[in-house]
Amino acid sequence: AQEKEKFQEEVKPTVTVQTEVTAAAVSHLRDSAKFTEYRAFPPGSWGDVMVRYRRGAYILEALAKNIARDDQLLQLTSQRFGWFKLDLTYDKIPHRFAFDAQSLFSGIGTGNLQLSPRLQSDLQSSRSPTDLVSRILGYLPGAATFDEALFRKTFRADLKVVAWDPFRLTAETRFEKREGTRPFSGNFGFGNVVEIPEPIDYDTTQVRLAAEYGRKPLFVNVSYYFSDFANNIDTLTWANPYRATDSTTATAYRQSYLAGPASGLIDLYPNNRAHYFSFSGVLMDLPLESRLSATASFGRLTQNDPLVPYTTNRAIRKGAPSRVPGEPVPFDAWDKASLPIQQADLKVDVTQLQLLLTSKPLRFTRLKLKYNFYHWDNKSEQIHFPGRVWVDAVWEPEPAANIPTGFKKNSFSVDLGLDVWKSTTLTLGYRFIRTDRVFREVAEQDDNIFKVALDTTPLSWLTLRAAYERSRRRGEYDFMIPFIASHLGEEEVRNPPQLPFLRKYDQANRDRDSVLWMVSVAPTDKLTLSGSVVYGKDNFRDSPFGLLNDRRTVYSVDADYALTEQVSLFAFYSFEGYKNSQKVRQWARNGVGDPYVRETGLDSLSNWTSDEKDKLHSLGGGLQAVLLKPRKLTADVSYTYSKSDGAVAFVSPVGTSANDANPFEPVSFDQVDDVRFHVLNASLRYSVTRGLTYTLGALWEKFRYDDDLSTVGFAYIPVTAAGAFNEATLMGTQLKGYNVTVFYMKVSYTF
Amino acid sequence: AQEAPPAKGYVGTQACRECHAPYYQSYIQTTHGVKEDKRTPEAKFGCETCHGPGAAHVKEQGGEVPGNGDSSAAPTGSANVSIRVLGPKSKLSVEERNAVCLSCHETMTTKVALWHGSPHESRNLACTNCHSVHSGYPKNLAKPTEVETCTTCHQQVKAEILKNSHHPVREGRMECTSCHNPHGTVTDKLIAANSINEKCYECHAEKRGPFLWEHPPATESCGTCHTPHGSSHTKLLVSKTPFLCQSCHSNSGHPGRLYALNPQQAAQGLSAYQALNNRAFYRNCLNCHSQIHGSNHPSGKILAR
Repeated sequence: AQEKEKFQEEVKPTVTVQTEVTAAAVSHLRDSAKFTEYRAFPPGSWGDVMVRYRRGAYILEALAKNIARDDQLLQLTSQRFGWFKLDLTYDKIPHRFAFDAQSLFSGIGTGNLQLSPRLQSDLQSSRSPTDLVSRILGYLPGAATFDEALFRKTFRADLKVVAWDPFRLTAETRFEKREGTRPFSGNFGFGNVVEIPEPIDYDTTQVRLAAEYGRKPLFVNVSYYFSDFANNIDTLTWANPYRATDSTTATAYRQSYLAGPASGLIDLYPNNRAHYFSFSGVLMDLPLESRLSATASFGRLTQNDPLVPYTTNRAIRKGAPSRVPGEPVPFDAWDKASLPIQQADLKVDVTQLQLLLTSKPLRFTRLKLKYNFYHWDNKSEQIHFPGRVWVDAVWEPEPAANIPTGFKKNSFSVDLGLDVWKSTTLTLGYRFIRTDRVFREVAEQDDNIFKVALDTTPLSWLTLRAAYERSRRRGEYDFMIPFIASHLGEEEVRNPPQLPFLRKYDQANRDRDSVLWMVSVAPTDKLTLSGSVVYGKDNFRDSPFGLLNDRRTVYSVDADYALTEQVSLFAFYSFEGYKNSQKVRQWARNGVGDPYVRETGLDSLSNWTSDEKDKLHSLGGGLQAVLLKPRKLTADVSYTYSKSDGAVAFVSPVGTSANDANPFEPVSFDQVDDVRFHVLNASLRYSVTRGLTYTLGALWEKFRYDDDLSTVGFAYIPVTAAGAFNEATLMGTQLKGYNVTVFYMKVSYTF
Repeated sequence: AQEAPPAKGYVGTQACRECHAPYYQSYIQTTHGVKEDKRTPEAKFGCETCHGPGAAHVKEQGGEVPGNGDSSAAPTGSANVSIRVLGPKSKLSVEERNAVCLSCHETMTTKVALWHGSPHESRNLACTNCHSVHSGYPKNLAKPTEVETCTTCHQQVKAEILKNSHHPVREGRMECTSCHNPHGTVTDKLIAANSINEKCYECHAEKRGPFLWEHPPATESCGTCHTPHGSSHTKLLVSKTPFLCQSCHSNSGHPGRLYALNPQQAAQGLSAYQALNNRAFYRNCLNCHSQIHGSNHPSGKILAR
């Protein structure tokens, strides 16, 4: 009878409903889009609902969060424990860039941005850059105002079947719609930057199917992954504010009001597809407590978008002048038929293989042997183009071929862990990585990485970790490889525009040292203290030019303290320091500083260095308190502050303008992405009954951003001292600060 | 229904419940407590599935004492004590504590299959450093959220997600496991994909290409220019443009230009923004080379179309 009663109790269906309604008042919401960059915080009210039905092993759960907000989440879960689980999800995430951006264009959000022909004709008749700028300013009051934002709307359906355990099946599908606009740049040459809203209308479909078997001593997983990206707006055409008619001259790239195209054309991200087949398996319970795992994956990435013509500029026709006197345009560049191919037809095969053996040959030793192979095999054809149109303005008769770069990494590592003392492990490790590249400066590169780490818990309340890693990267740097691969013009190959002494930091020889200290102390049940120090240094020892060194130092401390059973406190502080130095030369072919004909050594008055520094402080603290027991009235307060101070200092030898491209002592930038960010969160929660709760809360956020290169000066038309090259039009999308206060009241009811 | 206690040393869940009611209540709310799922502890020996046979513990009226249970019933590699405390106060070695969890989970999902040899396993982390069956938090985490759990050790990341440029982690729209699998992967940094780029392309598929005109460092690793947890610089860049671009591009003409103020401009009270030309202000290099991830335009060799 007792069993029967118990059974009836188990199968009796139960329904739980949780509801929450929030009403909020928000001040200065539209000061800056940064406050709601990835979230919605509308003044007014919104709600959350969760309904849960359970009968025995079966559960049906429906969840709606932030209902009707721009960041709402809807979820339906149907699950029978031990049989299956089905999740259906709709998730909307905003990404806001700017409120009240201004643009002179119509057709915002489409692939065709238009201007009034009157504006274009007026600016085309400008007499000077200054005159042009003053004319643009006259049109600003009539500019359209709009918010720059895009939204990710994701639908997911995930099914897991475990009814035939140890055989399991998984099917995950995900469809994401991304739509909106984001700030983007178009340009018509050295002057005439035009900030434009890039239309975003992406569909991304992903499917992952997996079959699994898992019962000791074997685990096997076989899976297939498919991803399809479709851009519903293939190209972006935008009218040139500075001229109404197409024209071209050898110098049309300088100032559009003198010569250039009536519009520009950008080929937006192309549609692409990826297929991956993967296998992973683990064999356990081998002798000496060994395990062998193997994973293998083969993928194919393809892209076959139709190509756009070289330009929309109909003046760049057969026989028109090019940038090089005596080399006229060989065909009508605006005609798609002039292209050597009509479709991209690009293909990459990706192969990955890993073998991992872990073992305990002796009671106090742990051995790990790992081999990893990764091959990005670019199978795309090289297409030879007789030249290109530079920013839709003028034909550049410089033959060039695309460079289908690829790479292959072979990596082997061995780690030996020694249990040197009770709860103390000393780990010694070595890793070798060989990277082979196709069409890049370093064709073969070796990384040798040594590490030693000590992990110990000498006392139940004390944990320490100390680790040191040294890595040496070496390879033969040949800066000519991409030029030989790309350029068909002998002149280019003989005299490439690249500074021969430069070493690109992702391939340059490098010595890297990194140190980590971590300590965690819990002297009592009430107090936990932890701290860490991270130091890293990259030294590009064989780089005369380019990035010379890069350093980072991070200190962090964290504390949690339970003052009483009712009151707990937390606090943290973190300092981050980043420094890097680089060396560059300003030079022009056959001009001052030319490393091939004028200053062929490392020294030149045209050399300059920059030292970039960034110091960041982050701190926070808070408390949680039960004011009326048992959790009848609780208070929660937290505050965080983060501050970043960046600066770039320059050093350049001062010469005369005859032999120095920079004949002056450069003045540094003192404000480089400087941020001050405060967040204060406070709430009071009162439980009227077991199911009914009231919450009163406040949120204050203050964000300030200063940057010498982007937040000072004009938001729309940057007029500069030089003037001549700066007849640009912007949309006022530069990052802005804000000071937002939110008061909210929340009622939660469960029944 | 729960299996009958095996031959020796087991007392059944009801006996545990009498003294440890709060622990029982927290456990029974979780998936471990669903007896209808034959894979769960509740469908086996209840509390004693993980904590070991309780007879000696009951006889001694509490404490962790040598087991007298049927050791064959104890999970592989775990000590036969009564009762096994598995939390922070456990006297068992990390390996013994983990063996209790792994006896079921190691073959239960591909997410845990690569635990052995993973960085966290190599550093002697116990499952119970991050998880607690009795916490009541999602995924049986020891703390309310993934971020709180992971940043207990990864304190640098706690600061990084507060930075100006960040993924929507602090807004709760992404979690650490959106990109990482803390239980072991084939990739460095516990990235849950075959490479950093393949993980990035899951959400940024438009940048996957392949493109007619590639930007080779981007093809090799997004990490060449971007840092994922947070940056002071826009677009999660590792340093400030144009200097970031100039560290690799010192070509003839404008790429090698020194974009600084000169004293005359400074004397005029001009800001850098006003004094510099359009290759330096605002997006600087990206004002023109806006297709920085690659271009499919026949005239897109310099990534300006």
